[in-house]
Amino acid sequence: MTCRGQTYDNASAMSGIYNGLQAKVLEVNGVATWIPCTAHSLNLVGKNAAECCRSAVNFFDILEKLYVFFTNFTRRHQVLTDVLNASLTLKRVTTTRWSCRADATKALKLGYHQIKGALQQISDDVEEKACVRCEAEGLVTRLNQLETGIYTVFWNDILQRVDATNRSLQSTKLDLNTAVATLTSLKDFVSSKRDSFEGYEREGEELCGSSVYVESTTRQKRRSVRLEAVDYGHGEETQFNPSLRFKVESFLPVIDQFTASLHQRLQAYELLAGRFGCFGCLSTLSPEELTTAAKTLIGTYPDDLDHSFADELCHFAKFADIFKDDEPSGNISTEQFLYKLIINKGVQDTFPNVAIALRMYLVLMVTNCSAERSFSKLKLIENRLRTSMTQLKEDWSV
Amino acid sequence: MCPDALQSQSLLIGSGFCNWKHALERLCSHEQSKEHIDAVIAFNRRLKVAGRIDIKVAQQSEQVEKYWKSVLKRSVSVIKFIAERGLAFRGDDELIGSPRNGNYLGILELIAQYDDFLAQHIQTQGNRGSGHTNYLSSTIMEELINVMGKKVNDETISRVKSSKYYSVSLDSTADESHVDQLTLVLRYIENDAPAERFVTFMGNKGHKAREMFDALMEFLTEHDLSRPDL
Repeated sequence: MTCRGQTYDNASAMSGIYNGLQAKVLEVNGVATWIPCTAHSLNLVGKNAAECCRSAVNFFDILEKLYVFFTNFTRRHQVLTDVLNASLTLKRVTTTRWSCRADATKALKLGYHQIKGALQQISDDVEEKACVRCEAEGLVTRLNQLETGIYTVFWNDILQRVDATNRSLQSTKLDLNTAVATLTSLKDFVSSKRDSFEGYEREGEELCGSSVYVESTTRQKRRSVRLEAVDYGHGEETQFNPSLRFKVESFLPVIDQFTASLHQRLQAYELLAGRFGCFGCLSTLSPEELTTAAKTLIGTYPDDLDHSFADELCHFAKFADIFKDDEPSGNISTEQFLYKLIINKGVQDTFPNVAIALRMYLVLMVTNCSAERSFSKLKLIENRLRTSMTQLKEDWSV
Repeated sequence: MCPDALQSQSLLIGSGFCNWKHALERLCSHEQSKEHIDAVIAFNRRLKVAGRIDIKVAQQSEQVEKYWKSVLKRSVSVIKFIAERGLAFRGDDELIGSPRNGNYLGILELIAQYDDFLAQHIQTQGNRGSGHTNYLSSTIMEELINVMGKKVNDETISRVKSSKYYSVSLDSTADESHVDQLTLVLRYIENDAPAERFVTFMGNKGHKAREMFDALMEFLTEHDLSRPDL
C-alpha cells in the first residue's frame, strides 16, 4: 500500500497498541505511521487540566450555572442581554467543544460587573419567585469571591490561547512540524505563567472587588491536640496563608497538569517530527547532519527512497538556499514551499527522491477534523425530517 | 491491407457466427473496434456531401437527440444546485404545478418561467404519468444523482492515485436515524499542495478495530488503492 499515514481520534479502538485499528493497519503496511489527532489531543489536555483540582471544577460549575440561570427563562435572558455587549454570550460548558469554554470565560471576564449587576437586579426584584432570587443571590456571592476573580482572569488567558491554537489546528493544509511547533509554543506559554500568580491575584482583586480569600473569613478548623501513640515525633504541619494555599492548591496544579499532559501527548509526534524534521531547517544543517537525516529516512522507507537520496538532499539544500528569499511569509509552511519550488522550477528529475520524501511528508494528516466536518454536513443533509434516505444517496449528496 | 490486420478483423465482418450465444459481447466489442468507428466516420462524411435516401429520418433522429440533451442539461444543473446546498429533492407529490412537488420540480418550473424550451417541454410532456418519457420523474433524477456521484468519486480516487502517496482518517458517529456511519477521509497531494477529501460513508460497520479495519481494507481493495505500488 502507498498509504503513508493514518489519523484517528484517541479512542482506544483506534489507538490501541496491540489491537487498535492503527496496529492492524501497521501489520499490513508498516510505514503507515499513526498520528493521533492533534486537535483531539489538545482537547484532552485541556479537559485534564480543567478537572485536576476541586476549585477548577468549581469554577466551571459557576460558568455552567450562570448559563443555565440566564438562558432557561426568556425574561432573565432579556435582563442579561440588556446589560451585556452583543458580541459576548455565555456558553454551556461542554467537554467536546473547547471554544465555548473560551467564549464563556471571555464573556465573564469582560462583562463581570454587568453580569453581577444583572444577578443583583434579579435578586432585588420583588416580583421574582423567592427561589429564583435566592439562586441569583448565591451566584452573586460566588462572583464576589476572590477565588472566582483570579480564576476568571487566569482561565481566560489560558483558554484564549488554547482556543486560538485549536482553530489553527483545524486547517486542512496544516502539516506536522507546524502543528507540533504550535503545540510546543502553547506549552511554553502556559508554563511561563507559573511565575505570574501575583499579577493574576491583583487583576482578580480588581475584577471581583474583594481582596480577602474565603478561607480567611471562615472559621478555622481546630486541629485535635490529643496525642496519639503513632503521632510521636511528628512536627507541626506547615500552615500556608490563604494566598499561598490558593497558589499551591489551585493555581500551580492546573499549569503543571496542563504542561505535563501536553508534554506526554507531544511525545507521540516526536518520532515523525524527528524523521522529517530536517526539511524545516535545511539551511542550518551541516552536510553530515543532512546525510544522517537522509539515512534515517532511507532506512524507514526502503521501498520509496534509494541510496542517492543523501547526496541529493545535500544538493537540494544548496538549491533551496538560492531561492530562500522567494519564501512567502505566513500562509504556507517551509515544506510546502520547498515542494512548490520543485514543481514550479520543474526540477523533479533532478531531485526525484527529495520530491518523494516531501510528498510523503505532506500527505501526513495531523488532525481528523475533515472527518468531523463530514459529520456536520451529514447532520445538515440527513435531519430529523429526512431520515429515510438510502445509504447510497447519502454518500453522493455529501 | 496487411494480412495481420485482415486476420484481426472481427468475425462479424467476415465469416459470421453459427449461433446467437455471444451476440451481445461480440456486438459490444465490434462497436469499439477501429473498423466500426472508421466506417461510421466515413458514412457521416459522405452523408454530408452526397445526401442519402433517408436523410429526413436522419435529421429527425438528430433533432430528437438534441432535444433530449437539452432537457438533460437542465435537469443536471438543477440537481447540482440542490445537492450543493444540501436541500431535499422531492416533495409530497410529483405533479407539475403542485406547490408541494419539492425543490427539484419546483426549480425546474421556475426555470421554465423564463426558458421557453423547458416551458414547452413541461407543458407537452409533464404530468403524463408513468409510461411516458419526460425525464422529469424521480426515478430518472435518482439515476442521475447516482451517475454524478459516481463520477465525482471516481475523479477523487483517480486524483489520489496520481498523487501516489496518501494517508487515511477514519471516524464514526451515529446519524439521525441511529445508524452508525463510518466516514473515510483521504489526504493526498493535488498539484503542489496537500488536499483532504471526504470519500465515503460506510453504514453499520461496527465499532471494533477488526470490523473497522475490514471495512477500510474492503474499500481500498475495491478502489484499487491497496496495491504495493500505484
